[in-house]
Amino acid sequence: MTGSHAALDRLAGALFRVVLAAAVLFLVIPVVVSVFLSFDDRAFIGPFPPKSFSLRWYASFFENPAYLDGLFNSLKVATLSTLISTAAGAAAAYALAEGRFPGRDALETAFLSPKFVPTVVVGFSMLGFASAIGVFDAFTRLIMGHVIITIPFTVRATLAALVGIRRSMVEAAISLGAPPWRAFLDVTLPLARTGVVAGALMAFVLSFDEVAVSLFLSDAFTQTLPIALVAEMRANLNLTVAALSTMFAAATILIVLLLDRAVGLDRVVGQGMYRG
Amino acid sequence: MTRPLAKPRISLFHAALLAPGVLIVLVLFVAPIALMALESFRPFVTGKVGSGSGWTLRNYAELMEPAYAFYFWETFRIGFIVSATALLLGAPLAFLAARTRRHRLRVAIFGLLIGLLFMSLIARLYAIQMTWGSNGPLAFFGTLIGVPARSAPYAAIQVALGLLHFVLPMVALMLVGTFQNINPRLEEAAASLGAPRWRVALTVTLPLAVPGLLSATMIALAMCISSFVVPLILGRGIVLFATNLMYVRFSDVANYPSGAAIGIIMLGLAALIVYAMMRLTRALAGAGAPS
Amino acid sequence: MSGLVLRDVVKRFGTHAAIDGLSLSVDRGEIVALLGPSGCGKTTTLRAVAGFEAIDRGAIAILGADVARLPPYRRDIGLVFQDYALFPHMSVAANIEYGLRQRGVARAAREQRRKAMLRLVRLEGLDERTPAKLSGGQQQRVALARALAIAPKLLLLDEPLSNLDAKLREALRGELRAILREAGATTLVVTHDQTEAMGLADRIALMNHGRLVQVGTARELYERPATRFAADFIGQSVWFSGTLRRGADGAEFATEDGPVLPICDAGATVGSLSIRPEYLHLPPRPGDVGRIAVTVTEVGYFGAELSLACRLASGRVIRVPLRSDGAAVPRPGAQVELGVAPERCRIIADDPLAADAAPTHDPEKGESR
Repeated sequence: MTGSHAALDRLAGALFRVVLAAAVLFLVIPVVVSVFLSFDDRAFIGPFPPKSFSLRWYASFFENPAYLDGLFNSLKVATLSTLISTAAGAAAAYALAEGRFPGRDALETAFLSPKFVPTVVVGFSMLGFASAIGVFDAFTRLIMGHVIITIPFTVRATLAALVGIRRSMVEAAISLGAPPWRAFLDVTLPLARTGVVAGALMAFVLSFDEVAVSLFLSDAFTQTLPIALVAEMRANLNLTVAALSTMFAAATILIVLLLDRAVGLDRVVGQGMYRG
Repeated sequence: MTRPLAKPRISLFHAALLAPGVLIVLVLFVAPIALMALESFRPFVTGKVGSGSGWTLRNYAELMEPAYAFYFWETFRIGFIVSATALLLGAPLAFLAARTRRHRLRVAIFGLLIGLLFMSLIARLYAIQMTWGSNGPLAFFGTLIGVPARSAPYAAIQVALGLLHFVLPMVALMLVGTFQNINPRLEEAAASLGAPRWRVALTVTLPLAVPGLLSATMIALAMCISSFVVPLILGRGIVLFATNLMYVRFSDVANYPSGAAIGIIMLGLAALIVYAMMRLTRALAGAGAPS
Repeated sequence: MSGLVLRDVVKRFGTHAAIDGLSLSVDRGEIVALLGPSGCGKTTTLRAVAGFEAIDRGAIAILGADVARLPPYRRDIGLVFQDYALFPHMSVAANIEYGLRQRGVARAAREQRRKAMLRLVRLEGLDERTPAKLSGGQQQRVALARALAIAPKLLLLDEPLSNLDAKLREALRGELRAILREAGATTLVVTHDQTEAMGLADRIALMNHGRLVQVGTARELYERPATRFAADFIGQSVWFSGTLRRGADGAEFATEDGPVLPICDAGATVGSLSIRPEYLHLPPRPGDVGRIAVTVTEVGYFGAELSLACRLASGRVIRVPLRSDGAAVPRPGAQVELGVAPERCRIIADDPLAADAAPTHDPEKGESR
């Protein structure tokens, strides 16, 4: 019987490896293709692979005012909405972590609920609402929309970090002579900092990449980068997006390396209940 | 050990901390959606931007018609297929990351998954279009399965591929957590009793992972049906999700009430999925399995 | 002036009284252990003294001053938590100096005090380590140093040794007592482990159901337990039901199991007879006037000690320890006589009050034998 078992085992193992490879290749190949195409010298999208290379598409990105405006707008919107969302979200998370009052759990659910709403719905409803209350400035509308879609992430990330801080540590500080506000500054804040930063990072990336909300709330004069990209790609499909893709990929690799250096990716994902 | 006093009231300090967040949620979330809900019951007057007065169920009734119901059906159909595929592709990767003792390998997998989460979806979608599209290196895939890359039905395949690329990293990361929370000693025990690895996986790991697998799949499904960008860019107008329909109703014909009705339905569906997921995890957790 | 005085303290959670009229006094420089099973209210008492729980009735005074109005950070106490609660983002030095910083002590003085504390707890040189890099025992000592650095009026220890494994616990118990003696602070230790209490404290306050059952030195509690709960919680007892009567040679206790045992200095007049197992001698020693005939059914080997299961005439089985000092060991089935001195037989009243009922669950009891 061990003979057939061994054969089955090998088959299962092979299957496992095949699926594994398929998954990784599926994820990675498009990015690699994109990187290659970003250096394509041809003026149109031709069959892969490119034969000659140049940086024309990178130049095309930086020379296009629509893209540059979009980038600038995206950065502005992402930064401002992240700041608002982090400030309000972290404060609320602290009250949720410490507070014991009726409705606390319901409140936590309320803060996390925008995450479950399709972003189209958020954008669509926000547009109607903004018009109804007379807010016609696109930038303000964008901030409104981006704040609400990011706040679940800032609340959750901060809450997770705060819940991990044992009560006894804060009490220890108090017993040693620190009034509660001092204990907060000396103990709670530093320990919660990773959570707050993680939440802010997630919020920024989410806002930067958001399409649906921005589509409804932008106008002809104020567009975020994704919107500018989609509009331009609609008009004339070219490889500028590949150049952008590659730049994003490079930036992402940098962020991930920094994250690993700072916190350790192991810690970011968690180790589960049975540490290896 | 710690027995906090039962405080029936909220302290002023905490209330002050909660105030900005609560204000944001009320003004930027509850109010717009409530308004949208109201609008969905208003009749649409063609040619007039904004809607008429009075109440009607016409917007919802309209959506039951086959032409529109078709879009919901497509959305769910593709969503289910993609979620199931993401589960199948993601599970081995997640299992490897959870169980491997090689620290570098684990970090590499995490890096890949987290990196993809951070990387712009739009950039990835265009990358997919360029890769699997008619000019791309993987265009042969379409011919292989009988749907040539240039044909119209291929758009649905591309949308599915795009959704998969969107959802797979998230599912894999969630499943890492699931597998990490299954006691490896149980697998070792089964192995010590003579079971080959595939049998251990099938009879020990998988049953225990079911709650986690289910919740990951449902989250993937929710993400798929809510997706707007993917069908927008890869659908090429041929494939429309309910989300795109919302946009089209509004942008093309300025039919806000109809769009609102679609929005409410989408909200209901998302809530339903979340609710179903919670009940299922609770029911399964009651049976003793970790999630 | 006492170091700590609790007078008629009551603390309720809803309808349940966690502390039910507790009065206790700790002298300056004295180490008192608050001992009791889980749920007896000892931790609540500690937290009330520290100021983290408000009391409903009664008074708490530290060095003569009533502290009811004072929040924890103004009571000048040192608290060592069960999980040590060291600040993970600060070095050992910063941890120890934390209390001093709150009091505005200058850097030079802080450093000096910190070094003195590290010397006291035998951890010199570990100033720059972070708590994550310390062993359990080291963490405990840093927590102690941190609490003592501020020279508190009152030192409070919450289950100081329970987070350590058994061997370490034994090793550190003596060290801990030495450190506490040297520090000389008024100390209240909360524990569920009787060995810990006996090893650390000058006096023990035994608690159950929110009330004090007995207060005294370890010897007093062990040799003259006041209630059945006390006799069972501290050390072990072999119990006999029966009645006290006047016999030919004096007072004697007629057990329901058969043997009649002479007693002197009975304690109560109605109740159960309690004998500490180690005073049941085999063979009987001079002075062991009382005799109990038993059949040895099982001999358990535990290294320095044997454990004999002995069946009485009534069929009840009691366990008796025997030091393995090379003397003959009875075989299972042997019929022998245990001897017990009259002074070692105490009658303890069967207390009808619920407050003195035996604890429902004391997991540590077996270990602390």
